[in-house]
Amino acid sequence: MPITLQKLAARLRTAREAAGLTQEVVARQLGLPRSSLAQVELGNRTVSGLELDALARLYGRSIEEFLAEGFRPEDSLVAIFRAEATFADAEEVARAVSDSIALARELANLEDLLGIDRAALRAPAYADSAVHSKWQGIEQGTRAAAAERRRLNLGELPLGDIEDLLQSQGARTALLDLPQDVSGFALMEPSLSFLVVANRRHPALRTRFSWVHEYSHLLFDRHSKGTISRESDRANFSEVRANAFAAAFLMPEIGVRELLASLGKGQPSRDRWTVFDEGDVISAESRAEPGSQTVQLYDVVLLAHHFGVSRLAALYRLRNLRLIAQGELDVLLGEEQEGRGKEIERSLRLPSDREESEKREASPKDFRSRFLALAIEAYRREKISHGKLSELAAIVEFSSSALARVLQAVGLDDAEAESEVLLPEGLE
Amino acid sequence: MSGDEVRTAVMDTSVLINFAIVDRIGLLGALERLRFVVPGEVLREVKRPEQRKRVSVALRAGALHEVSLDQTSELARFARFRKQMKLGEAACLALAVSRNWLFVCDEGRIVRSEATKLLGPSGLLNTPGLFLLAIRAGCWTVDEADRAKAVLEENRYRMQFGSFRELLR
Repeated sequence: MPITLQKLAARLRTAREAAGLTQEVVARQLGLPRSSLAQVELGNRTVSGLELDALARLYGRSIEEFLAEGFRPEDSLVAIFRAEATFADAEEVARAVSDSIALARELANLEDLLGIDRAALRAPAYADSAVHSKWQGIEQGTRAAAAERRRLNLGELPLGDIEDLLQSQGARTALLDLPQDVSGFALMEPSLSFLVVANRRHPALRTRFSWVHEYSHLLFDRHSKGTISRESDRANFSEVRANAFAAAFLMPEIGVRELLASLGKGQPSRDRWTVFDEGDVISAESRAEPGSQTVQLYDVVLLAHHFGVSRLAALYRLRNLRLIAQGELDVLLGEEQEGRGKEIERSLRLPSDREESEKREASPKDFRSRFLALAIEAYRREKISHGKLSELAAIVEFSSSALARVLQAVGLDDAEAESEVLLPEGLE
Repeated sequence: MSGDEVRTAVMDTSVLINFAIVDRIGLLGALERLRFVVPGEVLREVKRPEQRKRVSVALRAGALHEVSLDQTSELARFARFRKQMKLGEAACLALAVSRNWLFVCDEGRIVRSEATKLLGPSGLLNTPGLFLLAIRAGCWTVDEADRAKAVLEENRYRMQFGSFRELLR
């Protein structure tokens, strides 16, 4: 039994309000006069498929939700993100989030059409999710990072490909253009699968950190449907926890100490041991050569490359592990600001962050590749039309000419197909 | 159905663009037994300026009429088709099924099979079918239709036969 036009109109209004959007903003996005949208929401004007499609996208919902029996008015993912956005960038954040939700929804649709079980999140939910202070956040984040490393048998080694790791845990990764002060966000709506998004405008090493940061939100904040991470909120306890998690997960303490030891650093300048043999005590003392243990910027460059993090992240990790004193940190930060870190990197012929970013752009590994592969498979199995395939390819920034080349390569190019005559009997 | 009855045919983007490419959208207005309609979802998919212009001219001349999905049952069908089809295809098929209209589309595969399942084989028309109808109605010569066919072939749209003459034997 189809719903009435009045009911549809009321749902559209409720969905807009739940998303925290005004009629002005929505009308502007749709290219409609505000009065037309008002008439739609009053049930005085019908809504076209085109408009319904755009509204669903804007409100982070599926079109079917508006027409189905069980419409849930409070269910707005967009609202969760908008609530955390500042007034100035609310629209930009909402648009980025709506696009991501639409992408996740299309992915879920493809998986359904192909009969693929939506990957369940294999990462555990950490029980101590309440965080009441920054210190507690640091403790929880560090502890969870060590636990995750143990669970995943990662030892003390660098993580390598973060996206592969997160995807192996059932989380999707995506790189999207977000406002500059947003490092990423996590979507935790099981019907859409779990998605962690990093800001494509940020350099490659920072996005690695952001993905792990967002992964922390999947571990701790699963009760929420989504979280957004922005620079202006970095003092929030849950953000502190996520940053502590990311630093400890990317740079495990023992791994950092071992690497420094391999560089002849990290030992105390003076060490003393006492050996007790149940009868007496024997003392031994070691003194490092003066200045030999001082961490230099080239050590930091090597450490950062070893663990795939920025030099700044490596510096602060060294400080937090008490491997450098505050004075040393200040000196090293000064040197880094003078551009000496970059120079050392070049001299040691290590790839720069910029080169890594270019490499990332040249061959994106986020879930867009899998998305496109699923779309092509759905087309091959006649689950979607060529037009729908083109539409999906465009969402993941794949041009129609690039799509045509792929279809030709996999033998699905219809260019050689020949149309028969379709003419109904009565008209012949 | 009487032979004189005018039937409504809802036209998808693929066919509309073919007619725009050969600049013969006006021909549709001359086919007296058919009334051609296009939903806004299809008009939105015509991107090239010169094609948009030709479509606008045809709309103003009455060779085409704009329609919209205005019942929630139609929108529900549209929502279902939308999961597998693009905007225009989903809107046209929803209209054709809901209003018992002819469905004019060149897309094969899922769109064709879904449309055949829902409308039956006699509910479908395509570009070659319309060309043939125009020839039979005396609105177009075989040579004109063959020239248009050649133009479409340059635009990656092929037909199963060499000339429309073969179909008239």
